[in-house]
Amino acid sequence: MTRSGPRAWRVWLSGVCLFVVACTVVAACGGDVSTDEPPQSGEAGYPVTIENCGRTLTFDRAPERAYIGYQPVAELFVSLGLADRAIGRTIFEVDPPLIPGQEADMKRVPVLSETSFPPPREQLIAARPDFLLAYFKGDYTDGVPGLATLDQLDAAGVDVYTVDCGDGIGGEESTFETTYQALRDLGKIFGVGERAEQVIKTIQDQIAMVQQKVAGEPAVKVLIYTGGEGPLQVVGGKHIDARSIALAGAENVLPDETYTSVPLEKVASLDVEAFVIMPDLAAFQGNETPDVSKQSEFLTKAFPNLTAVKERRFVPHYLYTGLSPRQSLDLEGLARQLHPDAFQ
Amino acid sequence: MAVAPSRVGRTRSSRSRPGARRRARPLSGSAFSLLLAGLSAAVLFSLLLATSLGPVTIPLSETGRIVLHHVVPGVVAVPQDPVGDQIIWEFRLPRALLGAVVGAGLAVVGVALQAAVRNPLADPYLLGVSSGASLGAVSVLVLGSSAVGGLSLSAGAFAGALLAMALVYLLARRRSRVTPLRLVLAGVALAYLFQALYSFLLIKSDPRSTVGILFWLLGSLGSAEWSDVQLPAGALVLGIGYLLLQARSLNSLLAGDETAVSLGVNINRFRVQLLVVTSLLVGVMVAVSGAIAFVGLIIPHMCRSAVGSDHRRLLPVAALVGAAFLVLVDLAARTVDEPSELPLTIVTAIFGVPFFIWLLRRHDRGREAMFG
Repeated sequence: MTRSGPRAWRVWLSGVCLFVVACTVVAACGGDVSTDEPPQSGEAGYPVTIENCGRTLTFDRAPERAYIGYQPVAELFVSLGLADRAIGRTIFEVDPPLIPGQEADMKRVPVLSETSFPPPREQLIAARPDFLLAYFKGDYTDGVPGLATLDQLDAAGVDVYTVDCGDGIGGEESTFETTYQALRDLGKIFGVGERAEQVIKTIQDQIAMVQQKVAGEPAVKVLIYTGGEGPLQVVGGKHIDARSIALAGAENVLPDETYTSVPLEKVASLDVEAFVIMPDLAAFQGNETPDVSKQSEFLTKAFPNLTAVKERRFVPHYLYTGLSPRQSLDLEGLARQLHPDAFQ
Repeated sequence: MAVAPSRVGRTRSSRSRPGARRRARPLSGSAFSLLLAGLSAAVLFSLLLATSLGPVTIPLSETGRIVLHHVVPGVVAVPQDPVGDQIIWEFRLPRALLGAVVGAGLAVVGVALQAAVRNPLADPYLLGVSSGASLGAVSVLVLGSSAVGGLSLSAGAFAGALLAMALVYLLARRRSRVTPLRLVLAGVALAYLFQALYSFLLIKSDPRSTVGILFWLLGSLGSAEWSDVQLPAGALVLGIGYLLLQARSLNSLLAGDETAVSLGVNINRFRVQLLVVTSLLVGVMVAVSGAIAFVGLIIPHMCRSAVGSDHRRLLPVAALVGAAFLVLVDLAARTVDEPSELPLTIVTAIFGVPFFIWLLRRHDRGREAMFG
């Protein structure tokens, strides 16, 4: 053993060296793979150049195979009448009802990912998209390991458009204006600019209508409750979806928070006039109106002294709709529940 | 104190001491060479499997053509399908190689640290490296890279790992001496602190971003690129080279500080050297793969029960077994729950723990023979 040991490890060490040299050689060759795309013949209105989240995108023609991603941005895409160019989307795992008129289109688009992120890079590239609609940078950066990076997408000939340029989701950056900008940009990229303006106008008209209806009403003080029985998970007024509720005549009792957990006693001390309850995932079951009776029961027991409980104002409202044409639809739904008289 | 003197490489006659009865009988030199050859073949085979299998089906012949085209350009024609080329060459091969490198690295570091602190529970993350790296990574993921000085995810993880290691070392040092017990305690305590800090960030973050963080915390090779392979591979070679040169001193550490001193080892200096080398090695690994648990704990025990505690044999065997194991675990991680991927620790634990328990039970009847 004393004799054979050193020899054995010399053999082994040289094996390792060979392996690593092989790795390094292989790695060195790996750097320069490129896929050259043939230049496209000019279509009317093309090339189109837009600025998006610090990158300049140029399109010689409208993309034909788009991966349209997560529900809110997929809804943006489909609202432009582009469903026949979509080759994949994520599963809409929480399944709030689809936007009326989009159901058939959405059902036709294959589900490529079972999370809210794109599928792992291998499956994504194998679906051969030429365009990827990203909700935010996390759809292609370090966010979830296994996602294709911008460079890899570029090498595969996939153009990437990002809707929310912020570092996270729902930060300070995104507003209704972000949605309009995305619609305008997609309108340019796919040559459907007029349709984009129509969609924007529909959204703006609906918001204006809601605001007009609730104009004379006093704002209802709401707490947006998403789950938990101590501490409570709530959404503060800083999150984009929560900020927009002001337009429906509501006022968030936690104006300075985004997602957070608050202790029961804190909630008991707030002046809550209505609970906006974000239904849990199973609540929809394909129904228009989700069942929130469990949550209402808990809130009733926990906070008997709050105005919201005394007047039994539990308003189911789906919040994770983000940058989508759905925003104005949801806004109207919420306003109708908070101010039923105004919509008589 | 269970190490038979034969393992310290001094006498041959004491090999059959009763204490070593249930230990695997030391293999002869040629049998050991054969074992190494077999394990190397297993690593190559696992690399082949991991390159040719995946959620997207690509024929084996096409896979071979793509790899050959890149290794010996000009001899084999350019692959017809650029997508297949990208999947095999840009995604799967670097990922498989990185798996081999990280698996080998974690296994040898586990071996070395178990000897350094003479504790069978020691693993590569003993010095808080994984929780430090996790704090670095979670900070980048939650706060955005601009908030932490523009560090990328892996740079943030590496910085966190180094910070943790330095803190643990400083805490464990007393009058320029480092004792194993203080090291383990400092490591455990700081791990709790870092865990608390990143959990706080996690609770404050948007629910959607927690998926990515969870992946990172549980380890993943999903983002491997060629540029990720070089540094860990280089570090692995240097690390294993160093450890093999120190194999005799490692053997003597395992036999106890007094024995080591009597054999002329400056144990304090050696221990510090070991900690620095292994922590740097793990820092490099954790930066590209996240915190993959269990590999660095079970592979050393497994190999020790097979070839004994002589580090000249144990280190190479552990490296090869670790490499093959992690490559296969990663293959499972990206195929069993298709189209989704699983974080690696889930897979290492589900496959690893039952096997480990079986191994423990097998050895129970003799004595605490897993270690020493």
